[in-house]
Amino acid sequence: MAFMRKQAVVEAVDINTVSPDDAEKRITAGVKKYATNEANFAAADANTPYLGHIVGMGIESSNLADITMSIERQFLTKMTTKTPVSEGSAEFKLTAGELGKLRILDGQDALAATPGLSVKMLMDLGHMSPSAPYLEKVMSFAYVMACGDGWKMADALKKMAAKAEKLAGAERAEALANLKTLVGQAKDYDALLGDAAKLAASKAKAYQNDKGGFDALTSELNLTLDKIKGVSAGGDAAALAKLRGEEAEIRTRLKMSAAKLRVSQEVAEAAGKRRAIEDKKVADVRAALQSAVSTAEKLS
Amino acid sequence: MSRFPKRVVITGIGAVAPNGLGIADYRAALMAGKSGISHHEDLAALKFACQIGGKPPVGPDEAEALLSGPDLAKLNEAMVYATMAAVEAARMSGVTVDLKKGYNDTPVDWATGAIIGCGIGGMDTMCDELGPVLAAAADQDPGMGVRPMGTDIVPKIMESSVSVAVGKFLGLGGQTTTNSSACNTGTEAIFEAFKHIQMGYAESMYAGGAEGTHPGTWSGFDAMRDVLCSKFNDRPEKGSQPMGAGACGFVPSGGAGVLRLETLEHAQKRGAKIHCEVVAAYANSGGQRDGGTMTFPNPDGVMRCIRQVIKDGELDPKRISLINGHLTSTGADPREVGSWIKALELPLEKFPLIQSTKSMIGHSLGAAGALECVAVVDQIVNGYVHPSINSEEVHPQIPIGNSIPHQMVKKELEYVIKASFGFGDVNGCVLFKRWDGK
Repeated sequence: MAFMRKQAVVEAVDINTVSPDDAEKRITAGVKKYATNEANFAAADANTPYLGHIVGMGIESSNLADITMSIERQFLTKMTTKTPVSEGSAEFKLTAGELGKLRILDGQDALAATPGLSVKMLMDLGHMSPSAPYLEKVMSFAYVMACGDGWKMADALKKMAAKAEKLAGAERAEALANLKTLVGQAKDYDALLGDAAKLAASKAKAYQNDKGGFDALTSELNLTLDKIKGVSAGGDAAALAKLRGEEAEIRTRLKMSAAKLRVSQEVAEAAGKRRAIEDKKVADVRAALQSAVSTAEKLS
Repeated sequence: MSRFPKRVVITGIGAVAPNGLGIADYRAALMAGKSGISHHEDLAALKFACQIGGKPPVGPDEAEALLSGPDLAKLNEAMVYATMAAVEAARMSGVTVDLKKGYNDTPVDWATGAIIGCGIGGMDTMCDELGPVLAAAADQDPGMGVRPMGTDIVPKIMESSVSVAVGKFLGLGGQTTTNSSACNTGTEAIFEAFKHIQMGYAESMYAGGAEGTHPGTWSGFDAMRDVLCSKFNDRPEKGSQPMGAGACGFVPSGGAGVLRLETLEHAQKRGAKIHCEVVAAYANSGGQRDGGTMTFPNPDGVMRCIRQVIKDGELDPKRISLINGHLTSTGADPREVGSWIKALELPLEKFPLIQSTKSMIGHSLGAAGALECVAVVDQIVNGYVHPSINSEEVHPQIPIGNSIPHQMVKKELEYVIKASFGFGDVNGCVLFKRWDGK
């Protein structure tokens, strides 16, 4: 890398010889070179999102795979034996074996949005022993997302208010009208954050929508597989090739849909469970939202 | 004054040159006739015939003074140079830029775009990051093959990496793209930006070129034999001798030059300081016919390119104060001078001053034309002509020896014409004029 200073090579350690806090520290240090918001990175804790510039480390979404690879390079694990997910399946999972390189398989990192959640992922996958006291201070993925949306909204409101303040005449009137709409949305979101039950209901609805999409795709796949069975017997090679193409396309869409569903399921399940750590973060973002609303309302 | 509907002015310039980082150092070096060419151990270790080159004085300290570590990790060498030069040009034109403070929140400049060219981009990334991983990929676990490359490879090897970097850091909302026409790239970028503004697609454009200095970039030229200078490994600063009797091949180098072009109206509205005017610009090709080949320009094509600019600028060639030639220190120099003589149709005794900036900075390929245009603008603004060093003994086939300045000359310049030529028989030419306040 042009003009980058040489960095010390960090030796991978057996993940079961480090505490969750030390694992978190190593994970955070490992992503330093991708963190463009230096101030937020310097103050990062278990709940600082990797992505985002407002309260996050400023890592770009294009670098998500680098975060996972960085974690893989840091640790050794005993979960190294490849075992088929089910009999005859081409997909596999990792089970206990010899100490070796840590591998995080496709999709396993979908919820690892903060260093704390990365540690939780390692625990969930069996690489580390679960630690209830540690997990108690790790904000759930659902609340990382919910608070992130709040911070973005507060930031947008602040920026729009600052812009409107400088305008005059028709331009100002138009900006104030837009600001009013955004203020309404911010107030609604503030209320939603204030009520865990409402938030959970809203996320459950989003999950149901995603589930509906996933189920429809599954039905489409089954229908295509039935057609393939029928055509295979008839020996029409062209029709079979066309159907195989359709099957591959549906499977790709299904894979993406499943990943999305996993995220929305996690969010729906966790949104109603609010602990002390989430209460504090929610209070912070609500204060920011209310302050932005107040500034915007003074303008209009 | 010119056939073009809009007046286009220069409001900022930036330079990352082998003999100076930043305009102040570049100017001081140009005035002093200071060479930026030195011997490089890495070239010697690779058994290059030519072991000298021009590398800008940029290291981690200089790069980190402008950019944060995570941003640097996403840039190849040419992208760093392009960013440094563009930021300098932006600041000179009156734009506040502080990349370390953060740039994501600065507003998009919808009126401005960028055409930043590159000859051979991302070679450092390809050789030092991509190559080793690719070589080891076959031994990786299934599905893991090239994953160790990480995710930043593509933005560092795509041809448009240099303009993308400039567009990102300056928040440009106009067309942001990269041109590439070998050694004509930098000059062509200015022509493209000029054309873009004339057509009304942007009020302002950053234009220029950048090139890295990885041995991989220079290796193909070294393999060509007699294209690079291999006789001055023990006296590097004497290696680049454009128009000199001892010219024996060009000296490779790298760096970046960026200029900010704007419509006069836009510059005045912003209250920007105007440095000079771009009166006309043009690019063409010799068709690789009639003496033109992949590596040699068709003299007729060169002449046509220069004449078109003079015609478009509605200029009497007698008013040209200075020629900044392509002049690379190869056997093509006498042919180029011959083309200038034919194109301008002036008596030899009235031939304008002619110089080669490459005599001091070597040939920075895709950055060459841009760094030379930056030198032209600085000479117009500050009223001097930099020396063309190492040509005290003029090549016997060059009949205008008296027009070559061997020392810096203080002189008010009115019109300065600059041309570049590149592999593939491509040509570019730009006509600059002093800004007299109206």
